[in-house]
Amino acid sequence: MKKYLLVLVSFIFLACSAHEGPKHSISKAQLFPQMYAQKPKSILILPAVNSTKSAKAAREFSFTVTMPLASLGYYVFPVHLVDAYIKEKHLSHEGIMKLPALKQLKEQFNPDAIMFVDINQWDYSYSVVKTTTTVGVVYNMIDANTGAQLWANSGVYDHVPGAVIVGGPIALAIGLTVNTIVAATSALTQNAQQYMQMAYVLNSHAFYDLPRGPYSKLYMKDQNVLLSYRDKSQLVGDKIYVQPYFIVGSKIDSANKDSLCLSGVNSLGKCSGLQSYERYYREKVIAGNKYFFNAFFHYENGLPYLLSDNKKVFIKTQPNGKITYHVQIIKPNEKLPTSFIQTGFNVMPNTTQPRAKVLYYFDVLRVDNLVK
Amino acid sequence: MKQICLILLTCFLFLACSSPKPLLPSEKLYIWDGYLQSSLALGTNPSKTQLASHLRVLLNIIAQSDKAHKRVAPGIYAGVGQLYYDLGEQEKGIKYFLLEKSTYPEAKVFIDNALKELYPTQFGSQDKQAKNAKEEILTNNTKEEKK
Repeated sequence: MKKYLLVLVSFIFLACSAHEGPKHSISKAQLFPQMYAQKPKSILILPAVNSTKSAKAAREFSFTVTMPLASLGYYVFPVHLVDAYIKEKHLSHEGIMKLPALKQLKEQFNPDAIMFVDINQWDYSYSVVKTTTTVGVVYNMIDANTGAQLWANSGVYDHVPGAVIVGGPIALAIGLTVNTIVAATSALTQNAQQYMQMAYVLNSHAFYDLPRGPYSKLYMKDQNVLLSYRDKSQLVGDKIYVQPYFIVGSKIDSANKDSLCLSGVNSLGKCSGLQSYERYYREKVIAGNKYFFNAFFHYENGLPYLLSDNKKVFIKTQPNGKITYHVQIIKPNEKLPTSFIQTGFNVMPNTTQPRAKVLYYFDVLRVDNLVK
Repeated sequence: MKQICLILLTCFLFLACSSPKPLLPSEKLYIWDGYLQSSLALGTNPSKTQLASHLRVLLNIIAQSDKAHKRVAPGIYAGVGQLYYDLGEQEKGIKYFLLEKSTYPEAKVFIDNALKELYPTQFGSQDKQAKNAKEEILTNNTKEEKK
């Protein structure tokens, strides 16, 4: 019981401490320029690509995606009928991803926009300390006529008994950019149902900010709606510093309860090798274009950016498109270059010496000021 | 007692951090009563009985929407059409596919194609007709089971 409470409080602490940065706002027009320019009315959601070990993921997911998107006012093609049709026509996922297939999809479905969904986590992990259920999804919407990216989002949803954490840029309107506790759920028991319910919550959050569609009264009237966010990153020169969980995930180090684990947690609840960044990181080729996703980035024309201090800070990617992060060690007597990005991480845990600190940053490609 | 305290504390802490917000937009465009729960209950390999029960939920959503003078949510008519077909009731199925099309003109091209490719009525192959006939028997059996 005590352990539960400690873990819970740690989660709360993390969720609260994620709200440290200054508060800003961004309009929907600034966040979704392509959506307002192309004005898609109907959205074809293709059967999800399932890159998890769970064979059932795509089918279970399909029940959870229409409701939150259609509720915004878009026409969403009937997902199960689309699924049956695509199977009948032997349209493969690999085939659909290529550009000529777009023309074919346009002819056979006549959508304004096509949404690709990639399920990358549908897992259940068990350890002595805790069990975690995780659902991770990458969304990418393109213009059905041109193939240009209209919108993208991604998120990871961890369910541990007693707390639910959704990570990702996901929804500013709900006041979260990272690690917000959605609800304490205890009723989730059956596995398939748990996954589906989680997928539904994740989808609801992922679509929440989107401009309202043509069946809504707010259609083309919500451009100036402001979404507020708190800085989760800090621009210093040509570096943008990010909160540690951005890189390492939100695992709790059970041996050192007041801090995040620098890495994943192994079966004994101890930290193990750096793996979380990869866990949150995906790349994807759609219609000949390469897109990259980390659960915490926003995307515009396929380029990752972070919102910070009323700016869109675009991040440098490698020629192969990978986003590389850097680690900076701050010695005990050195001044931190950041004001609100703090790390409590000790580089050497078992020492009484003053602790060195670790900061994480990305290289900045360019900065777009958001005009008020 | 201890547990109750813990739950209360948990609730308090949650509220302290983030005010809970609704998952769907406040403007309620559609009625979805029972849709998610029923879908959750379907699971991976639904039986005919489960499909029939899901069909009842969808039909109820249509009835409720009509009653409230609301547009039926996208995909509900098509879902009913598909379920009727799967349960062997082609004529009812086609009626609902046409309703999806007339409610949402965006769906016209696709519904026409889907009917042609998936559910050819007049020109259906013998295999398909045989399959449908078989399914009809299964459905009748299910109905009898219920009786």
